[in-house]
Amino acid sequence: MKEIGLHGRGGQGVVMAGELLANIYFKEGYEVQFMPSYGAERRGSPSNAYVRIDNKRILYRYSIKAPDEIIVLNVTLLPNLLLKEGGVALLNSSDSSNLKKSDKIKFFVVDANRIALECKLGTPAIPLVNTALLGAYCKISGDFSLDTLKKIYEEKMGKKAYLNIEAAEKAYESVREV
Amino acid sequence: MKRLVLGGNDAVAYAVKQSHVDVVSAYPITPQTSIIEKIASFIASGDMKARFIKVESEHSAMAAAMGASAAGGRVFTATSSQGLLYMHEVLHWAAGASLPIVMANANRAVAPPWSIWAEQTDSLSQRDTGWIQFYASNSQEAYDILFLSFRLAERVKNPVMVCMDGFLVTHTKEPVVIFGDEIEEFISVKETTPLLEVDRPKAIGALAFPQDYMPVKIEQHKRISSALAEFKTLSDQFEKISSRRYDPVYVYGEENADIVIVAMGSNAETAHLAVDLLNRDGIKSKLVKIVMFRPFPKDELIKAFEGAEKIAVFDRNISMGKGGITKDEIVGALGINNVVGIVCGLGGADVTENDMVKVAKDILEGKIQEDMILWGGR
Amino acid sequence: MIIPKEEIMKSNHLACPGCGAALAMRLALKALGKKTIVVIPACCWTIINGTWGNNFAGVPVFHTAFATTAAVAAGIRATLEMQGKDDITVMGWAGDGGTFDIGLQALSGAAERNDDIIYVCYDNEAYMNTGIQRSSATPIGAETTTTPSPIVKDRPKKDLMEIVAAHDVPYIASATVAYPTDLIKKFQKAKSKKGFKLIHILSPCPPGHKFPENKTVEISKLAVETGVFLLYEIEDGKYRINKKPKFKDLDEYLDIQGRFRNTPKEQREALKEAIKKRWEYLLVKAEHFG
Repeated sequence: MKEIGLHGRGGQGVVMAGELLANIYFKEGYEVQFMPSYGAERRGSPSNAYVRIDNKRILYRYSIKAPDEIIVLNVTLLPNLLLKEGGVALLNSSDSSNLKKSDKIKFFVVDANRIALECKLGTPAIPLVNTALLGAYCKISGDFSLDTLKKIYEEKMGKKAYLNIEAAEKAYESVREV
Repeated sequence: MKRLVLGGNDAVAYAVKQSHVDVVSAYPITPQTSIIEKIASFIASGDMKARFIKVESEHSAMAAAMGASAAGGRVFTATSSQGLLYMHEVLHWAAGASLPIVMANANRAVAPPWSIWAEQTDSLSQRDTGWIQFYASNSQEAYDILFLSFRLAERVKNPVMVCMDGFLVTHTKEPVVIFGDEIEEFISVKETTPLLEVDRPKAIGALAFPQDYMPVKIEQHKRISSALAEFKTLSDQFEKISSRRYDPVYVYGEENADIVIVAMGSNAETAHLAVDLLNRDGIKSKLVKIVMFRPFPKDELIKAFEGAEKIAVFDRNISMGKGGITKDEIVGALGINNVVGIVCGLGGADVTENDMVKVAKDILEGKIQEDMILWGGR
Repeated sequence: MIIPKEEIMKSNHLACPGCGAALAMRLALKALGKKTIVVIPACCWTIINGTWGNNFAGVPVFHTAFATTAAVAAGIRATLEMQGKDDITVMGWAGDGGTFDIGLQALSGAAERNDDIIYVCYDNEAYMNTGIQRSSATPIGAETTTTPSPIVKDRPKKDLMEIVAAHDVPYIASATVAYPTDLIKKFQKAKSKKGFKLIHILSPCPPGHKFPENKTVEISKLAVETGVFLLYEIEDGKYRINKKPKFKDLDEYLDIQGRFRNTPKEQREALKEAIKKRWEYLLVKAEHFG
């Protein structure tokens, strides 16, 4: 089983990203469980969502504290996030100079803010980075194809899907390991 | 049939859409809200033909549901926690008037302090209102039990409450098999009977002196009690369509178990994992899940507990000054003394398979002999 | 106008002699006919309609919880709409306690949604079924068991008509059993209109108001003539005064009712003042929104 955490701030599309990711894995033939973490959500406050993936039915009915991998939509949250040892962290960032190399965590970065704005997703104040980051995650996880991602985007987003697909492709190409 | 990734709330809304419901009356409350939003969108898009009365309170939600049901409609509503408590008086009324209303309840802890997270004290404190109560452990169960509930409610002329742990079932999305037309022959059968007919003017619920009141209540008790047998009959039909079987009590694991874990709602999912871990460690164990809480499945539980050494009942609920409610019900109904009650998971606190395994082992080793509250701190 | 001869309500009902509410139902059902479903919360009519196995109204009756009248009626209407039965009238029939007080929220909800029902408040100005306790419909100065002399009710009666009028519903009317043709016409009009309708009926209560049981009609009439109870309609927002009060001496109305026996002089004056004020308001509304 794999547990993935998605972390951002309200308005960035964290919950939607989690649901999209669950649907992508499901289309690839996995059993999935999507568990948004509900609290006193407000625009701008931390927002978390989790996805469990397995080859058999998922029976865990409690929250995920330290996932195997995290997708971080807003890096200001990083100091408060938990991750299993040996885990993977995908960060929305243009700058990796502050990240210390670690044996315990593998860091990846992609400038999803820039990509989102290039693709006219969201506003300069709150770029909608969720769909771009899933493109990057597709590349680094290798769990599912970009084709499956595209199909899910088309199913769930209708007219705006092509912009999100474009963002995912750009992130897929530009994500890099730190 | 198709498989979709849905939460319990989504699944309920889909089932309502497919169930030829005439009237929905509801008032929003977290974490029930997405059920009624989805229903509203189904009606707006024309996918569902029903009247949706957007009432000003839960008290009126149940009152309007009563009126709609008394006029012969198939009626659905949904609520949670404070809203359910606010309905309390009308819950008695709906059951006493034999109205086959179906209601989904998102189990949520009761304030104060404010909480929106999972706990079953809300619906269990409605135990004596005369409603049939089901507890779904996952989205698929929520979906399937909804269909069974409409049929059962109308068959035995008694309202049915379908409970789902808030967020842990209502919002946790997972693959669910959704029917196409296969369900039509089952769900299109309506056994609603209007109580209010202008050609046969009757008064419903008039003042009854003791000599009249007692027989009416005896009849009501018989009516709800008959739901156990009727549920099995309907379940047989449902199984033929879906290949999924529902019984008042669900069992998983070894016969003649050293330890039986009893759970209801979302805890029962995690309990599967605990049973697997215990069996792996050479401890014969078994899960007994209460699916139908009212009428109480006494005989089914006696059978499920056959040969059990110890029984650990995990209650995500509490009767203050007493303890876990299902534990108390089991002991009261079965008169057994090998049961330990564990109150856990209040206000959405996590309960893991490791918690359950540890409790089970401690019981078997004699370290836990009395009822307890499971709380390891934050 | 000829009052329909047919009696739908049965004469062996359980009301006290001289009950204004029994007479009101009798007339209302003459106007509405047999294709009527009635919702009755806790109130005198819970008893009047007969105990278990009886139904003296002669039309289907759903006895319901105190605060739920309007919501239950809305639910019945919803199913009838789904069944395509558009020739049935759904009527909520509640006392002043169930309307002015505990049922006001559900009433407001149904009015705001414009549910297609007739909501009737038969107003006997106190909780009579439980033995004469003050409600928010009790007039200033009246004695009840919870406002015993010398601490009689010191707040004015709530203005139900205007509260409902604030919901912008198609039809609101007041009526009394002293003017049966007026009352029947109003019910017929309410039946003919779609949406939420309110009819407020003053319902004198011999044991509760403490007057001889043969004076119900006379007191109803005096209430109108003195200006205590104004007969008017608000149809699609337009005010119409049905009977201009003669402003007879208020004492005539008060003195035949035991409930005002201990009303202090200053409260009688306050009541007179309140009547004057309400009439002036109504005149303005009738002139500007007539």
